[in-house]
Parts: sequence; C-alpha cells; structure tokens
Amino acid sequence: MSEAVIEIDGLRKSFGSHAALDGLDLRVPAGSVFGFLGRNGAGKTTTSKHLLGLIKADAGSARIFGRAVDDPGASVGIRRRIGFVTEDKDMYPYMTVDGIIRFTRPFFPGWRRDLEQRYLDLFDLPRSKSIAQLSKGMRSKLMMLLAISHGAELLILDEPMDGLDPAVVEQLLRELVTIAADQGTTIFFSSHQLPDVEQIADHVAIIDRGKALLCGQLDTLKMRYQRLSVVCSDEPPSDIGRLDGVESVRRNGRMLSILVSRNADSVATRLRQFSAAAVERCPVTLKEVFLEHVGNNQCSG
Amino acid sequence: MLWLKAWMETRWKVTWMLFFGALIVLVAARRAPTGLLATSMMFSVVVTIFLAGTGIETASTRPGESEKGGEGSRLFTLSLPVTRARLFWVRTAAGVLETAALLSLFAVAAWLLLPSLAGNANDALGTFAVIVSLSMAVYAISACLSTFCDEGWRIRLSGLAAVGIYVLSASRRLPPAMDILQSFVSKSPLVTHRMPWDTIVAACLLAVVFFAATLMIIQKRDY
Repeated sequence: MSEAVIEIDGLRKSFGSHAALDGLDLRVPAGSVFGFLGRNGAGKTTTSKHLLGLIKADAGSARIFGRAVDDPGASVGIRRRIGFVTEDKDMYPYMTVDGIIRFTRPFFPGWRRDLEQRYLDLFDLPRSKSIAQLSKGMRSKLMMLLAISHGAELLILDEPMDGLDPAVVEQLLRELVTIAADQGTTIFFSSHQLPDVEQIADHVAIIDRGKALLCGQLDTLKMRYQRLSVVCSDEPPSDIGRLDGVESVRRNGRMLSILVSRNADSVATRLRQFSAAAVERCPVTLKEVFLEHVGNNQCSG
Repeated sequence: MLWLKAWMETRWKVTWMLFFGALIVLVAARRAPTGLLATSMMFSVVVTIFLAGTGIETASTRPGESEKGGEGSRLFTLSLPVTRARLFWVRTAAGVLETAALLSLFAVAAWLLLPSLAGNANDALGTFAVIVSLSMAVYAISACLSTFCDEGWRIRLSGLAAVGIYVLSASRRLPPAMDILQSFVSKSPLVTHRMPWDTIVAACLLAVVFFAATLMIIQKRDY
C-alpha cells in the first residue's frame, strides 16, 4: 500500500454538546483520488478545517505529509503544499480575477505560470472581471485554478461540485482526474454527490456522526458488496439476517433482496440449502452501500 | 500582498473619515476667532471620536475576514501559508498607520488653520500625542471586541464603554491617569502647558494589553 498523505487517528471535536468528530480514523494514500462521503453535518467540513489548521481538535491527531497539522509552524509549511477549495467558494469580491491571482501568487514559491495560463484558458476566466460579478460556477473554477497553479501536492476540496450545473461539474471532474494522473496530486474531496464520487474516486470513506463507517478502495468495496436476489420455493426463513456478511434483507413475499458485505459465496450456498430456487448476484452502486451504512447508523441511533 | 488587501478593504472607510475630518477642521477653523481654546478642545474631542471610529471600523475586520466577503472568504485567507499572528499584525498595523496618517493630516491642517495652535507648538504637539495614544487604546479595545462580537454588538458595547467613561469621569471616580475626558479639558496641554504623561502611558499600556489579548484569542479560536 502506498504511503499515506493524510493520517487521522481518533480525532474528536465538539461544538458545545454536539460531537462533530467522534473518534475519526482515516488514511489517505498518496496519489489517490479520495472521496469523503457523508450527509450534511456528518463532519466532513470539520475534518477539512482541522486539516488546514482552522480548528483545533479536542483529542486525537492528524498528520499531513507526516507533520502534525495542529503545530502552527508545521501548518504553514503544510498549507504551502496544499490547494484548498472552500464549500461556498467565497473570495474577495473587490478584487478582479487577475487581482486575486497576483495576490495569491507570492505566497507560493512554486507557482506555475504555465498552469495558471492553462486553466485561465480552459475555464474561460476573464482576467479583468470582478469576482463579485462571477457566477458560483466561475468562482469554483477560479478557486480551482488558485489551488492547482502552485503545484499543490494535495488538493483538499470541500463540496467542490455543490450548486454547480452539470456541464461545469463534468468539466471539473475531468480536470481533477487529469491533475491526479498527470501530476500525481492526491485529491481529497468531500461530497454528498455520490455519482460524482463514483465517477472519479479510487478510494472512499463514508463518515457519519463524526465516525468513519467504511474506508477503502472503491473497486474492492464494490466487489465485496453484492446484492443477492433470491426466489424461494417455500416461505423464506426469518433468520437470514443473522448470517455472517448479511447487511440487510428486503422481503417481498417469497422474493428476497439481500445486501452482503462479505462471504457472498457461503451466504448463497446457505440460501440454497434453505429453500432458494434461484439466487442471482448483482453488483451494487456506491449509493446502495452509502445508504446501507448511513441509514443503519441513523436507525440504530 | 496582505498590506494591499488590508488597504483595499479599508480604503473607502478611510476616504470617508478623511472627508468628515476635513469638514471638522474647516468648521473648527471658522469658529476659532470667537473661542480659541474651547474650539481647540472641541476639535480634539471630535477628531478623536472620529478617528477612533476609523480604528473601530478597520479593526472590525478580523484576520482573514474581508469587508464584504463571508465565511468562505475568511477561510480562503486562513488557508494561505501565513500564520494567524502575521495576518493579525498586518491588519492591525495597516489600521494603525491609516489612523495615524489621518491624525497627522488633521494635525497639520489644524496647525495651519487654528491660530491658537500655531502659537503654542509644544502644546499642540502634546495634544496630538494625547489624541494618538487614546485612539490606539480605543482601536485595541475595538479589535478585541471584534473577535467575539458581531458588528452590531461591537458598536453597542463600544458606545456603552464611552458612556461609562463619561459617567465615571463626570463623577470623578476614575484614577487620574485613566480619566480620558480630563486630558481634553482641565488636563489638556493647551490648558496646563504640560504633557499628560500619565494619561499617555496608561493609554499605551491599555492598547498593548488589548492587542496582546486579541492576538491570544485569534491564535486559539476556531474558524
């Protein structure tokens, strides 16, 4: 396994009585496109802010490039190697596109004019236009340009596609894939837009109530998770849900739809031993896995 | 670049203060022949209030917070590879320099336009020093308030503090060095022909304490 760029161990953060992070553990491998999934309020933004040194954790630790993010000195060095896109894409409305590029450039010694020009052209950003006059989509592109042009080794993107039209989303997703492939940049992006994540991520983590419920390679997860569609000749036994690996069971008369997270073969064999006349395996989507985990966690309270 | 940003965020406030300050100087100059000393004192008090207002306004912009931008704008600034201390000091120093520049401009204008000041260079300089030190103290307190108050509460609390100082001063319950109003009236260099060092030192200490407190709060707080 490749070296981890981000390492989070037992991170806790509360705001009053609300626990935003409740013992979060996470590893983000170098060079990965890492989708950080969760519902609104699950702790995604709190995690991103902590990684950037904007909030301090109550307990636990987080390291980027092997350096502690809560060390103010190290945090400046870390931020020099990171590109960040905020959730609401707000920048200084009194500056122009060109003005904010000239403002940002001196903070990053490794600023690359070739990338700056490439993304100005690609995103069709008018240099002389005021930021106040830009649409949210254009501000997203501008923020992406600022995050990428200094040759960032890690991009932390907080809901980068939120509120954007499909055409802009598609263009940004394509660019993220290109950046990861061409420059080896690690991309850590939080989202609740599951199709976007499924389109470009190679690793995912699902977070809920400040805890990582699931973390790993997307392909592995999708191979591990399977849906078994079962037709029973008799009344299906009621204890199928207790089989090892079975996550959920939906019943419709003598038809069952079973989501398994492991041991799919042995579950299928056991089903045939019961009264299954036919067992069909179907691949699952990320959405199904997400809803299974987040939904269950919500019910178990 | 942070200096440029600080200037861009405060330039219109400074312009307005320059405009109002110029009006005050002109009004004071027109009234000067009928009451030199009273006019000079009135001038000192009003200019201080206005300049402290400039300080309050410029200090109200917390590190990383832009005048018109929202939460995201602040996050953008704080995500830059710069320490919070540097953001704070650049912002504060820019506000202090703007305030000092305005004060100097008005002082020179008053020097040229008010005959009573022209004849007493040392006293005029003393009055200028009082105004500068008190403005810095008000600026520092306002900067501190801005770390945990929104703009509405900051203005209310600043106003309340001003009323409190007036009441305490009128009832003579303040230590002499802290009696700000008296440094414009009975303890004014224009009256005593002496520098009110105790008031100046007290104001500078107050400024240092509140600037230090503000920096501590900014370095510890979550954004």
